Amino acid sequence: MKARSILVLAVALAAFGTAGAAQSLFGSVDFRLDPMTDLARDANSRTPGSVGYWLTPNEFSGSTTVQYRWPDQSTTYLQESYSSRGMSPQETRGQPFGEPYALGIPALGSQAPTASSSVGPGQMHAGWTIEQDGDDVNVSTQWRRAFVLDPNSSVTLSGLVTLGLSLPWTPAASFFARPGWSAESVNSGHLSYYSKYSDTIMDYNGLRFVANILNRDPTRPGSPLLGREAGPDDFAYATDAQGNVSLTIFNHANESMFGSFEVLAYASAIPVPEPSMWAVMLAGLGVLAWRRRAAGAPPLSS
Amino acid sequence: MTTRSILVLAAALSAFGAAGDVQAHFGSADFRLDPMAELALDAGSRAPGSVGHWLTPNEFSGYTTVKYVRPNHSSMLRQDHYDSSTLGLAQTGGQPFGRYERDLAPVGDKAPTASSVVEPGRLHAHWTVQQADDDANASARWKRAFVLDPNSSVTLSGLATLGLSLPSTPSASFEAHPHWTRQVANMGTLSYFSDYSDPMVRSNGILFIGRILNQDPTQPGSPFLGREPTADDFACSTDAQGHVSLTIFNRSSVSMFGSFEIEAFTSAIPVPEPSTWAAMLAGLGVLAWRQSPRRRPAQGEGA
Repeated sequence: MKARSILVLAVALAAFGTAGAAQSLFGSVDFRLDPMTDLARDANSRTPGSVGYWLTPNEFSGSTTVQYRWPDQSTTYLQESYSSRGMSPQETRGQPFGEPYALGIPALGSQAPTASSSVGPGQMHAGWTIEQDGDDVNVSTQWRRAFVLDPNSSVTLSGLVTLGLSLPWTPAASFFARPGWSAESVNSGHLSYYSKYSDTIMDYNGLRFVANILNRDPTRPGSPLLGREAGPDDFAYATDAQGNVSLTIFNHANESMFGSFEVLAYASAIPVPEPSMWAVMLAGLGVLAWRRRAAGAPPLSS
Repeated sequence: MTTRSILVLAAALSAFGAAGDVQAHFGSADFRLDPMAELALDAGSRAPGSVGHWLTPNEFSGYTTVKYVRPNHSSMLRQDHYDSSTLGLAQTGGQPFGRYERDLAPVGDKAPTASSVVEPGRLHAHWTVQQADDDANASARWKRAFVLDPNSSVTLSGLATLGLSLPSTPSASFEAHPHWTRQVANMGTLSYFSDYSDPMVRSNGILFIGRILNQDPTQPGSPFLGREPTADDFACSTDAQGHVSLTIFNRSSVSMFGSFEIEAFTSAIPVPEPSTWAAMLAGLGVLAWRQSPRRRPAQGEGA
């Protein structure tokens, strides 16, 4: 029991030492889309084998937020964002996710966090680095596009997700559908692929895919609702440990369907516990151990 | 009459055109303190003629904010903040107000700028904006506690200069708040600010606060001193040239704890959008139309 206590203390103190020192942390998400040849560029350029066409241009946006503490303890909060709104058709009409656009942040000072968000044909990225305890950064990149899908057809969004994180993590995935969310949205399928850090329920970086079945032509907001109904097999998905993900949307009806895909890449810094925090946690552990011993309970992990 | 209408319309249209173009706007609030020889730097350095001494170092803080929309619609929001609590005596000691400067330089063509300056005897906040969607603001704030001799008074005075690219007139207001809190027996706030016709727009100005304290501010838990506010704890004066003064009186026969605080703040006024100008134009048109029947005879008489 005594040897064990000393071991726990040593581990805690080692963690304490690491938290005090300057650490370099990073997080990133990259997504490479498999070619989507089953959707034509527009209604007029359909080829044999296509199952539908893109109805709208690529809509994308991204933002980075950085919080930096200068050597004199003054602070800077910097938020940068961009959007395809206002860009020319040449920049938004092509293949997903749009023409190359990259957002960096101006260097604030030495040891300042960095952040980057970018989109390009077939790829999306969100990433950050942190050098100092107490600094914060997060990044998101998102894309959305509506399409028309032929009757009794399906279309799949698939590709490879690469996650990077400076702390130990394991890949995790989750899926849920949201039938009847609103008058416009008949059904939506949400697939997440993310890094699961240690035992916490929080995730810090990942990719979210959303497929929507629409009840109305999204390019004509006031048009009548189409009376489409949600079904139990509107979506199918697959993920693996290597980061291959796919989300399929089905049109089980005999009419064309309006739908849309969304992809969100997000990466957010993990708050590094401060030395005082570790001290509090240590104290808490100590109290727990003491109470358990006083109550005559067996050790926690036996 | 027709010539006049055309003239009015031309003036209105040129204003409309100007709103569509890029306009440079700026705002600033600047305060230069008169020397405060009556308060010694500390209890150990009192000279004849002094009426008390500074109890704490200069405490100051400031911020600058800039919102910038680039030609490609990407945007930036940056907020910088500083605080004397993390700085050494080299920056917080000595005469008011201390020393620090935060300057947000332009990060692109036509980008806003903002700066916040604290230096000995001067507080300054400034911004410029060149595009309708952009925004900026800045503030510099200072506070310091003192001890004032029995039956004495101490005056904070100086020159306030407000700059603004839109028409405004300097205004002043004073308010006393007796029994503000258990720690503050009385508080006097004097505002010197730019006044516009539109009360909805944010303003720039300088705020002076004098406090009579009921407790030693360096000893938060110490017993209250039973100090009571009086009707003539404060005196103030302002003039159109920007001379401002705020006096605190110690009307008792015991030393008094007090503090002075100043904030120079300035914030961008939203530039009227083209649609607003169009609405104003319509309004002007209605006015001109309603006035024309009454003016006609007057012109006839004059001719």
